[in-house]
Formats: sequence, structure tokens, C-alpha cells
Amino acid sequence: MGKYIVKRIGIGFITIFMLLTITFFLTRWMPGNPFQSENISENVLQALEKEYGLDKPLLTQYGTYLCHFLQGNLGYSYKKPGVAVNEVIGRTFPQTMLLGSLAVMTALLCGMGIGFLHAKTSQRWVSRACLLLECIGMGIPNFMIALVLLLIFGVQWRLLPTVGLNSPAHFILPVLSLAIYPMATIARYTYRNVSVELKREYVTFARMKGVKTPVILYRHVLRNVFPQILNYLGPTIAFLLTGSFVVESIYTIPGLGREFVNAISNRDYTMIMGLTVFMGVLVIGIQIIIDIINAWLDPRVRLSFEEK
Amino acid sequence: MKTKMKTKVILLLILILSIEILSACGQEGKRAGKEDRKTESREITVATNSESGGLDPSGMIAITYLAYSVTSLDELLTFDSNGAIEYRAATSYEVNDDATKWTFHLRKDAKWSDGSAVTAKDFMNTITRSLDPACGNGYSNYLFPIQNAEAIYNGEKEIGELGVKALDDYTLEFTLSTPCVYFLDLLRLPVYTPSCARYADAVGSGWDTNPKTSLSNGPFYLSEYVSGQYFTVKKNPYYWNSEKVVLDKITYRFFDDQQSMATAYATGEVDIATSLPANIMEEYEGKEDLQVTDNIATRYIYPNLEVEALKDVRVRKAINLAINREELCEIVGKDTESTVNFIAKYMKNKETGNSYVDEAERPFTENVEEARKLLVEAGYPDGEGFPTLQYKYPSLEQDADTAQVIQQQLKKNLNIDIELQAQELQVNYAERRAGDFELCRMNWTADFADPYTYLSMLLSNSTYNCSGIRDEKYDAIVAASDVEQDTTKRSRLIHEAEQLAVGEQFYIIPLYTTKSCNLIRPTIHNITQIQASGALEYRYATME
Repeated sequence: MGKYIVKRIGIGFITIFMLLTITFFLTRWMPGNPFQSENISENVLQALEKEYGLDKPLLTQYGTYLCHFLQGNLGYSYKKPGVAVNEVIGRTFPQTMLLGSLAVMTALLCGMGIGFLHAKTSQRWVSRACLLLECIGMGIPNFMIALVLLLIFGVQWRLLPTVGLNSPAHFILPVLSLAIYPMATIARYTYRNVSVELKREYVTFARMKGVKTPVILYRHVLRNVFPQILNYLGPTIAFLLTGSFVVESIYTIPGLGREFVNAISNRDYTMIMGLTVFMGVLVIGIQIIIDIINAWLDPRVRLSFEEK
Repeated sequence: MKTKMKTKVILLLILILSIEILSACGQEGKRAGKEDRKTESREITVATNSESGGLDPSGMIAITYLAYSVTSLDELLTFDSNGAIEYRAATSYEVNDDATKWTFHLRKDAKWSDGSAVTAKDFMNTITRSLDPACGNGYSNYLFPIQNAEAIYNGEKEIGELGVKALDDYTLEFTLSTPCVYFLDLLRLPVYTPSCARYADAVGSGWDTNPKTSLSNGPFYLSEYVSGQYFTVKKNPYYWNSEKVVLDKITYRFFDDQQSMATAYATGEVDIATSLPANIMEEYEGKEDLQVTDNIATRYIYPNLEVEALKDVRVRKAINLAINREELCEIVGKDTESTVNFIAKYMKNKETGNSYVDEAERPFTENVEEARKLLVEAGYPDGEGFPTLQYKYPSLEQDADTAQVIQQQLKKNLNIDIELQAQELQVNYAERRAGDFELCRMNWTADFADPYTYLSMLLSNSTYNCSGIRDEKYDAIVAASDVEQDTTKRSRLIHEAEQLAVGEQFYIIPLYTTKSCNLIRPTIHNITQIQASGALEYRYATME
């Protein structure tokens, strides 16, 4: 297990290093990049020169950039004078992270709940209702869901607030908008896998032994189903934690997703570079954690590594 | 067995965490809701455009400052809706015969929001800081009528030689280099507004958005500032006229787009939303909430004269003549009215009571045929060889629609291509100021009730002249209008200057003037309109 973790983290570091290198050289080669621009204010230019050592050779600049990265410094915006990338992340990431984590948890709990219910129910209408929920959740894009929720709960019934994230009640609609798609997908996964598992011999055997259904489901079936859901959860967590431009725009949330899209439309290269690296590290980090949990839960994964 | 345990532990943890968060959500939500209702009566929330610039009157001024200053800062004096002087931080003034020496007597009961006295030094503090070009203030050039101000700005003279003196704590004396007929109108500009000398040390030091150091001398003071989200102002108990102030708190919430503002109004989360998209007019037609006001504003495009193709006046003229403004306004919305003038359509001549625009000849008439001919003359027959110009504009609905219509019209009428680039408002401002554009959208709302607010923008030494206009003839006419005391002659000079800039040299591409489509809760009263700009003012607003 120790070996597996070391290897997985090692691969992670290499990936981050490659991401840094590619992002660095791409921004330097981009046509009309900030480092060639003539129309740049004196203050910004000085800050950029100091930051990136522009008068030095490219490789030295690259070295400085890596050093700064290791110190946790992601550079400065080139379009918004005096604004550091770290500052933007510090301001927006907490909101996005909180929103994303709540969405992940909602999706996981409700999704698995619906999936189990769907697989286990003997009543036709429950089964149909579950199927309907899953189809709607997977079929309707999140911007549509966000708008419909806003219209119904915000404008028509005025039950829930729709602007910003001031109080916990403000979280409900954006979290739902973000969670519905992954929730439906998880429900679908769970349903499919649980249905398969329920037909397995070990379940029949357990039943014959007189084990109660909830115990079978919880102790035996869940154990086999969960790792598969975990595989889906990795990319989903990464997606939700890096923020959704659409949902953040609709609910006026100053989050990371909106900042990233704005940076692109502003052609703020240094900001794009900083945010890309940050999101990259985040995605890679999450994937490592998921992989390690997976190996911990599922002996097949770590054994396959140890055999090699 | 071991694996089973692990699974259990993980699942349990997830379950506990989510239950706790969900229950916390519910409880706090209820609490917040109750608090809201308790204090609801004297608080209002106003929707404002996305955060841009700071709150320092010497720093970069944009929408955020303008929203803040209207309720929180007292200028020396201003003009009421009838054009009569309304004294604020000052109680009286004297002026010498040739209008070059202005002495203001400050209000002795004026206090900062921490209870300390507002003195002449605080006014000096803003003025001296604004004369440093590094501060990035766009209004610095409105200090230039003051003796030596321009030389100090350009680093040619020392700050000690400035023609402003604090004779004592409550007397402020301005010495002007030449008479300036609209000097009193200038006093509502940020650079003439005080900033507390004890805290307001430098632009960018952060004093302006920190409630502890950001003091105000007006009816409200800054109580909270959350970057990217909102800021709140509370009633200033030390305000000299606080008896008349009814509201306890105003929250200004930042919005990136106008449609979200309208939605937030519909959901009841904001009480006032201004400058909404035109479709709101139809949606709220006949309802009390809707209030349409005229903006004293002109929306136009700056062609950058540093760009080779745009150096040619024939090209600028061709673009101007090829745009069909009637069609543009029809598409963009009912809240726009086409204009070919620079001075805002609804700006009135104080002497005659008519609008300036109606008193003068039209600078030009649109004519596609002529535009095509001009382009041929300039060496681009049927747009051949004409470079693709990039048009930068803020990503607001109205500007995005405008950009697309213009792109289409220029393609159809002149066969030239425009590449559209939408930007965040703040970035659009910064790039325009840095001159980093080919074509850039500009909107100018009058800062004071005199056409100089427009004409001054195109002067060679103007801090808002970002497209490289250097026209001595224009500068001379405007300078002559500054000192002309005869109002009829002055009007003539003003029209002459506008004619030259817009109708002969085509330094700008005027598009339309705007109406502001506002939604205001019918329970809120006494919102006034600032005479100079047409913006709404909430200082003495009341609630039912």
C-alpha cells in the first residue's frame, strides 16, 4: 500500500511539473502575449519585470517561475493592475469550494439513495418515479435547471434567495443546480450495479442464511458498488470544485469559474496561467486522493500494482 | 473484516458531515431571515454594476466610487433641481471680480464619521494626491484651471506652488490661472471632494475600502466592503444634517449583468435596480415600480488615432456616415435614442433652457454612398486592404447588442470587418485608459451641468483623452470658451468646438443617448435625480 501511494504521488508531481512547463511556454509563445505588448502601463510592466525577470534568458525566467510556484506565488494579473492571482483565488475559491463540496455530498447521498431505492423497490410507480428523476437529471443541462429553479423558487414563490451566498439559505438553489446532474448519474450507476449485484450468488446465499435485506444491502452490496461510484466521483469532484461559470453567473456568485471565464475573455494571460495551474493542481490532487481511497477499499487495485 | 470497517467509517463520516451542514443551513437560514425582517423597514438594497475602481477620490474613479460618493461624501456645494446653489460642506463663498480667486467658508459643524472635524486640509489632501499622475485619476485635469496645477501634474513645479491654500481650518482659497465660468460646477467632481488627511495617505494603500479608515463627511459612512460582492453604508450620526436622513443602511450589491439585476428585483433581493435592459419597460409597463429617467449621457466609440488606418480622417468619417443609428437604436432597445452629437442630447443650456444639441446644426448626416466614396479615396475601395479592427466593449447586454449591429452594418455598408472583444467592465476601463485598443466603447455621463464636461475629454491634456487626439485648434476654441463671460458668445464657441471635433475631424463615433430604465419599490420615496448627470440620489430617501 505504501509503495502504491508513493508511486501515485510521484506520478502526480510529474503531471504537475509538465502542466507548469507547458503552461509557461505556451503563454510565452502566444501571439500578442503580455510580454511583448507595447501598450502596457508602467506600473504593471515594472511589476511584471520584477516578477518574471523579463530581462533574463527564457530558461532563467522558467526557473524563477518554478521557484515562485514552490513558494505558492502564482503571479500577478496583467489586466487588473496590482491584483495578484493568489488574491483572486483567496477571494473566490472558498465560495466555490463550499458550494462544490455541498453539491458533491448532495449528489452522492441523494444519488445513491435513489439508486438503491430504484433497484430494490417492488412497486412500479416508485421505480418509474426514480427512472423519471434520473432521466430528467441527466437530460437537462445545469444552466436550464438553474434558471428553472430560480424562476420557480425565487421569482414565483419567493421562497429562496437567489443572489450571492450571504446566508446558508442562499446555498440551496445553486447547490441543487450543480448537484442534479451528478446526482442522476450516480443514481443510474448505483441502480445498474446494485441490480447486477443483487442477482449474484453471494446475495442469494446470504438470503438463504436468513440475513435481513438491509444488512445484505449495507454490508455486502454497498461494499462492491461503492468503488465503482468512487471512480465516477473523482472527475465530478474536480469539476464541481473548479466552479461553474453558468451557475455562478445566474446566481451572482463571485466564484472561481466566473473569474476563469472572465480572465479568458479579458485575455488576461498571467491570470489564465495562474488559475490554470491552480485548477490543475487541484484536479490532480483530488484524483490522487480518490485513487488512494480506491486502493485502500479495493484490494484488487493495490494487488494488481504489487504483483507487477 | 478490516475493509468492511473502513467502508463503514467513511460512510458514517460523510453522513454525519452532510447532516450537520444541512441542519446548520436550515437554522442559520431561519435566523438570517428573522433578522432581515426585523430591520427591513429602514434598509434598502441597491443593485449596482460590477465592481470597478476604488473609493478613493484621488484614485481610479468608476461606477463603484460614483455609487458610494453620492450617498457618503459631501462636496463643497452643488446645485438643486432648480439650478439653485445647495451648500453642503461649505456655507458660503466669495469670488473676486475677474473670477480668478474663489474663497470657500467651510461648515464648522461638519464632522467625519468618527466625530472629528472636517477641515480645509482634508480638501487639500485629495487635491494634492490627485496631482500625481501615478494615482491614475481620470479627473485630475479638472484641477488644471487652478494656478500651477497642470505644471505640478507634469512634474514641472513643486506642490507648494499650487494655487490652493487652506487659510485656516475652515477657509479654502482657490487661485485660478484664468477665469473659469463653470468653476462652481466642477466642485462636485471627485478631485474636489475631501478625503480624511489622517487616514487617506496613498492611492492603492487600501484605506478607501477599509471601514476603519474610510471616513465619510456625508449622510452615510462605509460599514462593510466585501470585494466582488457588496458594500454597505450606514447612517452617519455625526452628519450635520442627519435629522433629515431617514434610512439606516444602504447595501450596494455588485452585478455583472443587467438581467441578473432585474431578476434580483423580481425576487425581492434588491429594492432598487437602475439602468436595466429595455425589455423591462415592457414587462413592467403600467406598474408603479418602473421609473424611466433621462440620462445626461452619450454612448460613443473612440477610434484610436495611433492606428494607421484610423489616422485618416476620411476613414473615420466613412465609419461615422456608414452607421445607421436609427436602425441600431431600434434593435438595441427602447432605452436608446440615436445621436450624432458629442454633448449629451438632454444637456440643457442654463441660460436659454433649451438643449445644447437643438441649438446647433447637426454635425453630420449619415450617408452610405458618401461613406463608400470616402473609403475609395482613402485607398480602400470596397473595403479592400482595410485591416480587421478590434472593437473592445464591456460585456453588458446593451453593449454586446450594439457591437453586433455595428459589425453587421459596417460589413454590409463598407465591407470592412470588425472583430468583437467583450471584456469585464473593469478591464475595459483600464485598457481604454492605457490606450490599448483600436476601437473602444465609451459612455460619458455628464459629471457637472456644463458642456465642458464633454468638450474637455478631447483636449490634448485631458486625462480621459485616450485615443491620441492632439488638436491645437480645438484646444484653443475650448480654452476661449472657458474664459468667455458672455453666455451667447460662449455657446457659440462651444458649438464651434463640437462641430470641429465631431463634424469635421470625426474624433469620435457618437451612437446614442440612453434612458435609464429603473425599478424602484413603490414604498420608497424621495429619491431625487442629480441634475448634472441624471443619476439617482438616495441620501434623503424615505420609506413607508
